[in-house]
Amino acid sequence: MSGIRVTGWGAVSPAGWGVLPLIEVCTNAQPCETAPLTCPGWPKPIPVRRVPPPTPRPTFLAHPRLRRSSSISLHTAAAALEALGPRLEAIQSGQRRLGIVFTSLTGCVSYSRRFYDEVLKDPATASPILFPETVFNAPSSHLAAYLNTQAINYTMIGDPGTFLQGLAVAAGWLLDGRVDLGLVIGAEELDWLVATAQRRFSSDVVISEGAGALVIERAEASGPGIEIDRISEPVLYTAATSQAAAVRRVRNEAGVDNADTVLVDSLTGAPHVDRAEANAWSDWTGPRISVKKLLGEPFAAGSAWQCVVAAEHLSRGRHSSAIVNVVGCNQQAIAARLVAR
Amino acid sequence: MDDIAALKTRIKELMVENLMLQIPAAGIADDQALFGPDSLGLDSVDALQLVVALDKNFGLKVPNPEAARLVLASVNAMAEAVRQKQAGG
Amino acid sequence: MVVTGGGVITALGQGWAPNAAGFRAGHCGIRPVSLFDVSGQRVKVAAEAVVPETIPGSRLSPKRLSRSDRATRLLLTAGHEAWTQSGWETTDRLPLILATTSGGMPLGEAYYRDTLTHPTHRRQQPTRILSYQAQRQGIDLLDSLGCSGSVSIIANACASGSNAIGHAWETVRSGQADRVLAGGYDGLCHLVFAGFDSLQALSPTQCRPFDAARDGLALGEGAAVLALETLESARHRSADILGEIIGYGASTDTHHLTQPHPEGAAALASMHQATQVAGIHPSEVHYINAHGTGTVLNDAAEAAALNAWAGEAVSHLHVSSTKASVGHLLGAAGAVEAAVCLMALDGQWLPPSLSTVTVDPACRFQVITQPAQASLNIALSNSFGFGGANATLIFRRWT
Repeated sequence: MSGIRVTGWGAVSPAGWGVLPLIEVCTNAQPCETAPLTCPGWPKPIPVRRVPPPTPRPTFLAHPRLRRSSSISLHTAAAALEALGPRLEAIQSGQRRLGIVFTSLTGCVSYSRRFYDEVLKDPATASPILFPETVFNAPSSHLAAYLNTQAINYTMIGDPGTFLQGLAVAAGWLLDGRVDLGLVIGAEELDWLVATAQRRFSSDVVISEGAGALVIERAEASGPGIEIDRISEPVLYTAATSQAAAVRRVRNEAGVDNADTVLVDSLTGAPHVDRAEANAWSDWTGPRISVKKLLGEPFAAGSAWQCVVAAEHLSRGRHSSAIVNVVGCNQQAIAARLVAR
Repeated sequence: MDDIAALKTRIKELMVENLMLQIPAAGIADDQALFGPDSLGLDSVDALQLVVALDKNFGLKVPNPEAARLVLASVNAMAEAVRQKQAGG
Repeated sequence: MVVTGGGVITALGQGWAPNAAGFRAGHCGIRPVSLFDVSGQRVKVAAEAVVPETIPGSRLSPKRLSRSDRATRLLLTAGHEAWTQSGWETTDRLPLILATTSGGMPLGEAYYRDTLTHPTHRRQQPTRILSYQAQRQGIDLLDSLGCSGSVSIIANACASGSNAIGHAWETVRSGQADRVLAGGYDGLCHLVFAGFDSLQALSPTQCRPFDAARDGLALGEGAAVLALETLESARHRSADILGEIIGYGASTDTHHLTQPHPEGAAALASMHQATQVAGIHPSEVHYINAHGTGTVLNDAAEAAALNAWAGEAVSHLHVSSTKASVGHLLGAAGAVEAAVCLMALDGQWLPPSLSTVTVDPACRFQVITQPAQASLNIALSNSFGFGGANATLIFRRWT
């Protein structure tokens, strides 16, 4: 996979709007505090980690396409704009073609719930303003409109491993010369329906929300930068392969490492949820960061944050390579390696 | 005359809530064009939402797109249509 | 890169042959909705499919099959037919690339209704949450076939099906795999039906694509799956070849979340890309399976794009929309319509839309309104969707 560089990254998380608050939380290893979310009919509020309202309110939120959209589109736009940085002008003016891969597990879940609730009450007065915003590809459509880019644009849904699948898809477009820049996003929005659904599987995973974005390009210059060394084949959880077996296979392919590699894993802090990953990587002695222990489980956004933290650490010279290991909740195990060139 | 003013304010509040407008209700002028060039910039999805809101809140039925073009032209037009419905019983 | 297996299920029936016969004759599967209460809706019809209870050849346990929802069984039915026809052996390195917009939505709806009545009730709820997710439905198909590999779900609204098959084509073409199983599936659900009705997009009379008096689309359900592999691999196994994919284009219409740009600029871009990659001229395309939903806006924008794309060849162009027969299958539309192109090329016929009576004068091409024989070598399929997702595929007859 060499020849593809990560040249920009952005994030919106419960730590705040931007990469810096995310990195600060990871550096201090200080978990973000949770807030109680009241869920209809649920005995007690469920602790979750929310993205704080932005201060000041970013100007791009006034774009007409974002007027009616739910929070997932706002977080997506903010993370993408931070990742694009100075390249924005060349894209909006049409000089450079931008391919977008947007990944999510629950997608536009809050409007879907609200719209279906209205349909149950009276289909004749269900809000037409909500329904278009329920489609999975609404966030990446709003983003393309804001960026004025007409190039190929995929929305891929699946468990948190889907973000790394999306990274491989965008890298393929770059290698085929179909686009000049790739923008890969993982985003999730919080809703009581998701929080209560998670409770049916584990009561100690804290659901959270937000978005993360990477910009990738073909490595033209040979100067310093961060390169995608490899994205593993995903290993599916099937009737024949348990999650534990899949995670071990990805671990074995990742190989032994020099001391200067940081492992950015997907541990959540909930023991039985983490068991497969904790066991497979129990031999790891090098530096290690568990983003979701600090910021909660936002599915696709969590994998994106792992890549953002890895890229930021490499760009600050803290390590020379990083392994991003993702153990998805119900689909696949997959990992990526970034190296500082 | 104050009930027509109150009705217009109520319609503006409904617009902000239903259409998720980023401006306060008072920021909408009574006679401001809501659709078309240099208007408030609403589109056909907003129009459908307003039709549903008028039905839900005032029982006013806007039967077809032609009627909607007239009734939804401005806050004044909506207030007038609601007043006629209420007057008509 | 060639197609060596295909499976289809729609309101016209189950299986490649019955569907080919239905599309060839222009049959219509649109009927009153029985799956959910439509008494509060403007429109009461859709193209419901008859979904089988059993899946011959499935390795899923009877318990797991009985728990699978409508959309999963549509997917399994089409997937097994394509698999059987391809003659492939089981493998654990099979990429499965699927398109859907609603996944297991009826399970999500049932989950939500239960949380309203008895919120902390456990029974069935965890299973619904899992099977509602499209990636689990993809894994169900691989388990059912006794395979493993990877599952990629593309949710690009109504263009998903063409994107999934196009992405599969590029995956094989770039050497990442020598065979891929690709397709699309969607089952009817109340949320989406009520959604289109709330936008007044459903036709209160009849879905009449490209008709001057058209007034909306009809929804449908179904699935189509294709087995794609390199020519060398197919020749090595001396497999039957259904047809060839020679072009794929994809673009984004940023005009509006649900409405296309009136001139269809993005549609034109995806068609240009596909023809460029295929190395052909529009005049060489003998049949176009249009996106053709039957809404005023889509068909007008698509007509403008087709007129511009075809140029002086436009008057010889034969176009139809099979959505008049099976409705709009959303995530499965692009996949079923790819199958229709392969059927038409193989059988040398043009699928008509019988409901179109007076062709909109904006169409400078010929809209096929009656069944017809024709010598076809190249067919093109368009799929456009909410969010401005635009995709085009081009197929060539295999002789």
